[in-house]
Amino acid sequence: MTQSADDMEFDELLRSAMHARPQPAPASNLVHRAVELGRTHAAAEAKQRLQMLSRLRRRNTLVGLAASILIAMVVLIGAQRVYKTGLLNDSSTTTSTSSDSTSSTTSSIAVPLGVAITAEALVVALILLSAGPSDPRPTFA
Amino acid sequence: MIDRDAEIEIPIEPLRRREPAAFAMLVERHQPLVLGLCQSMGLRGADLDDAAAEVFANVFRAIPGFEARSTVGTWVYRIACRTIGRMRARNRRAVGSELPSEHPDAGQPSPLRQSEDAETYQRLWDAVAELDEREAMAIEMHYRRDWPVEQIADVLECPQGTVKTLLFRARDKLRRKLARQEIANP
Repeated sequence: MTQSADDMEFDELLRSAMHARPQPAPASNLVHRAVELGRTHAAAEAKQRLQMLSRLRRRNTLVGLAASILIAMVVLIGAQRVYKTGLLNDSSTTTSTSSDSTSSTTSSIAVPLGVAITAEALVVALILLSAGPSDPRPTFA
Repeated sequence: MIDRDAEIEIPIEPLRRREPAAFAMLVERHQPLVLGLCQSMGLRGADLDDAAAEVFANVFRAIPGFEARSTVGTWVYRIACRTIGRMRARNRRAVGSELPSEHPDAGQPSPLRQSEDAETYQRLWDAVAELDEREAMAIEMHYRRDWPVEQIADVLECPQGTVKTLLFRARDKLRRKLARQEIANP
């Protein structure tokens, strides 16, 4: 890039102007201020990160709870449908219309439902345990 | 890599451990350019002090992760350029007035000449403060600190050709601005 005499003259003017510019006076406590500010920023950043983690954990708990309820509903609906189709009825229920057969049917459906609900409760407990406490709230000095 | 002030070595390990003495040395060593950059970006008074403190606060926070892939100076100036740019965008205030501390000519110019130069210089400084962020930084580093293009490219993290373009555009803008002002105030 070749420069004309005019360009060079302006270049020189700019250089001398910039060299003549007085340097701003340094702040006497710049080191101290920078350290304090740096520590404040770092603490604020750490606090923000922990709050974000805490929010995430709370959200996970809620999602786990909602998922458990959904699973429970699906299990109940499934059990009801199975019951309605009569697949769970044993031979005694199909052969007679007496009150005995009714009671035997009730008992035969009560066992799988009980098992399902217990299993469901275990799943919920496991999900809640894996999510941990909802908000540990760390303290800062 | 060129570091014109490389003769004063700052030990890196104590810096990484954030030892106060090493950090104070780093601030002492690099504050002239940081303050100069703030000044060229149009920051004044308390804004200038705040920006400088913010730059070194960011340096303080980032020190443990310094990988020494560049010199400490280049690394500090990169942080400075990013921080000052943000501060300038956040807080653009009116450019103050200042006069040169001393006349650059070696001889004894007449008072009239001196006052004309002072006025021209002031116009130029004000015009630099109005340039784009990277153009103002390039002007500060090249014309005030006499840095070569290679070193400026290293700090601004761009190719040397980009720095040349920045300088060319900045010169062009300054020249046009000065010419317009001279027409307006002959």
